[in-house]
Amino acid sequence: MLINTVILMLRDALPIALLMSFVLSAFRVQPRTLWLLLLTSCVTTAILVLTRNSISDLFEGAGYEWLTIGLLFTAYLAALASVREKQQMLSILVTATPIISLHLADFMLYLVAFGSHSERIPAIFIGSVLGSGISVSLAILLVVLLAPYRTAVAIRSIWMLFIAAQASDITPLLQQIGAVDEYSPLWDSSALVADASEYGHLFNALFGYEAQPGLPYLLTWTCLVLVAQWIVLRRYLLLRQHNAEGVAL
Amino acid sequence: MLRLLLSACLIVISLDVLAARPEVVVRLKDHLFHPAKVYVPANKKVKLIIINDDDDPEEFDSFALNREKVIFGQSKANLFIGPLAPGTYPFFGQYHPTTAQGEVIVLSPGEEVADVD
Repeated sequence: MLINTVILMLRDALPIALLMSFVLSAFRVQPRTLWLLLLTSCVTTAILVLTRNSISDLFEGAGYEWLTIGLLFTAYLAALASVREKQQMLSILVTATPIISLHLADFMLYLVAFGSHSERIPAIFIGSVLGSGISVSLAILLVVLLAPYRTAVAIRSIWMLFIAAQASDITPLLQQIGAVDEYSPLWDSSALVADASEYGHLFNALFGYEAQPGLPYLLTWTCLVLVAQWIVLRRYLLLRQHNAEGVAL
Repeated sequence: MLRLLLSACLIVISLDVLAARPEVVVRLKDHLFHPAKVYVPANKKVKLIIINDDDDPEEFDSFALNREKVIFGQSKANLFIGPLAPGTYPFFGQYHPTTAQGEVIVLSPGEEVADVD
């Protein structure tokens, strides 16, 4: 139970911790925005946990997958908008809230289900502390690593890579509900980094690593990353051009 | 043009979803999968119906199949797997990984089930 809680915590808390690192590193986020993000995430998580059973039954059992796909796509579109300075805080909120809530709702479900068994509470508590400790440590490490790039285009580029990786989860969900076919893996790097390993979880959360990716996943990932990187680069070149001309945007 | 393209995509997706698929039922009782070995044909999309007879929720998880699905207590969930190449694809219950374990065995065309769980 202890190890399992740590693994689940890593799977769900790590993307949240990394996302917060990016938000704090890439944008000058005010405390008010952070509080607002906390509030919207808590409300959305509560709604997801309370309604998940009913939503899951919709569309012949594919309701929660469709909802997740919708939320991930919304987050991706909002992240594209966050590259612009205008309405940036709103874009960050709309990007971060669905990603945080989906992961938090998964872990909350586990807590609610097993927290009711009093004999399991100590293991769940220690596992949660260990898992969140590892996640927060990695997030702090990421902030330190990103610190030199605070003003460069590189940090926005890495931020968009992270969001594109999160949004790429759309493909396995579409395959799960039978809307997209499965294809044979293009390669198998399990011997190098297995999906179930700590590095597997970290690389998956950071840039969408899959040890055995199929063609649909690779195509989705490539399209989402290319579009995101193109928008970041275009914005950067536009800003440079305007700065050279002395025009404020 | 865009509208036409979107309609075509939707029709393809709808037809794919509506097409009849082989179905396999797996029951979850006392945190164990029954059957623990699920035999499916190669190169065919299969609908997996998982019925959770326990009171606790369970998460069907498989790295090999790239699937994650929460099944609430006393309820059922559907998910699709395949088309898959012949081979063995392990799965487990994320909430009880030590007991809830199983594998999807994809049979080559003409191959028979070796043993029944």
